[in-house]
Amino acid sequence: MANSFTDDTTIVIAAFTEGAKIHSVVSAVREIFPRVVVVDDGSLDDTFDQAQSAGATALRHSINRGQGAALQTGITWALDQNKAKYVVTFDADGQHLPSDALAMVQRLHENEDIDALLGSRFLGSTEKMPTSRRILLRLATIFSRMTTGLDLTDAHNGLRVFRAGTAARMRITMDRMAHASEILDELNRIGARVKEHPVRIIYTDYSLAKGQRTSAAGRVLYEYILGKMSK
Amino acid sequence: MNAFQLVGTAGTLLFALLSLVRALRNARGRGAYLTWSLVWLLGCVAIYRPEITREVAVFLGIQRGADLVAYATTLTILTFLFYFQYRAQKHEQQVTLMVRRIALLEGRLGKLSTRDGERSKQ
Repeated sequence: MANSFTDDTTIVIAAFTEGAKIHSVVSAVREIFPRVVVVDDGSLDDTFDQAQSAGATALRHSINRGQGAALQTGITWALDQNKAKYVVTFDADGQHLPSDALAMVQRLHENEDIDALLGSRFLGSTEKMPTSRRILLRLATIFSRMTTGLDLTDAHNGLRVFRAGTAARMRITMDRMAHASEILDELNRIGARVKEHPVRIIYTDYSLAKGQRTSAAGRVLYEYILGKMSK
Repeated sequence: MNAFQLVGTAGTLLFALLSLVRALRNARGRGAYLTWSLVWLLGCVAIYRPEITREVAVFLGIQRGADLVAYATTLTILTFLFYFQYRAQKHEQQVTLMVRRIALLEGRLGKLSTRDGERSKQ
């Protein structure tokens, strides 16, 4: 389905060793959005080739820098090269639905009073979400509320849509998983008008194996604090 | 003066002088060299006149000179650890900027390199 806003949208996907999945993810996204940029974050497999063969613009970090770093690279490309009006961050592991991204972009397109839309699995639905992950995400939400004042239900959802102006004013400097909290800080710092949108998150054995372990929460918090201090 | 005081005083005084010379010769990093010179000098005084540490400790409300030295050493180590962690973080950010620049340049040039032998493990 072609809409004017889908042509003006760039989907940014950060990928690390997602050769098994990235082709299908990009193909599904490209059925709706023609402009997809995949940032291969120093993958150890053929992620780059698979992304390219699926029709994405593939960029490559020569060494692994982290999801935050890869997203910023993709966002920079989207704004500078594609002149995107809307920038979407989308996970590479198949947890997100392109139809949700479409709904979010459409909502942003139709509502001038929103600068950024953040996906929320707790407003939407989840499939096979581990209980430990649920608890951790709730805690992350409380933490984000305390540090940014943003009243969110899902503080660490990778599906986000930004207006170009908002994306341009943000700077992701925390390379690894703390970037999710940093994005909220940045949105707060620039005074962006932020809303949440219900999305569906599909957990699979693959995505759970690839994703961040619950036990890594302490390290993420440490990286966040260190990143704040070095800003 | 015992053997330890003799060697310790001479050694720390030497390092204090070397640091001072470096501070005078190099405008860059002068502050750091002067600081080190002061640290070595304090160490020299503490070894030559160990009773001074007790006097300072009592003045600060810490009973024993040895405790003062332990606290000062611990705080210094923690400060350095934090400082080096901060510097490492800054370096990481700079590496990311370079990697990003290369990725964007290659993207614009349309390079289609795949496994090019440069790919390093995480």
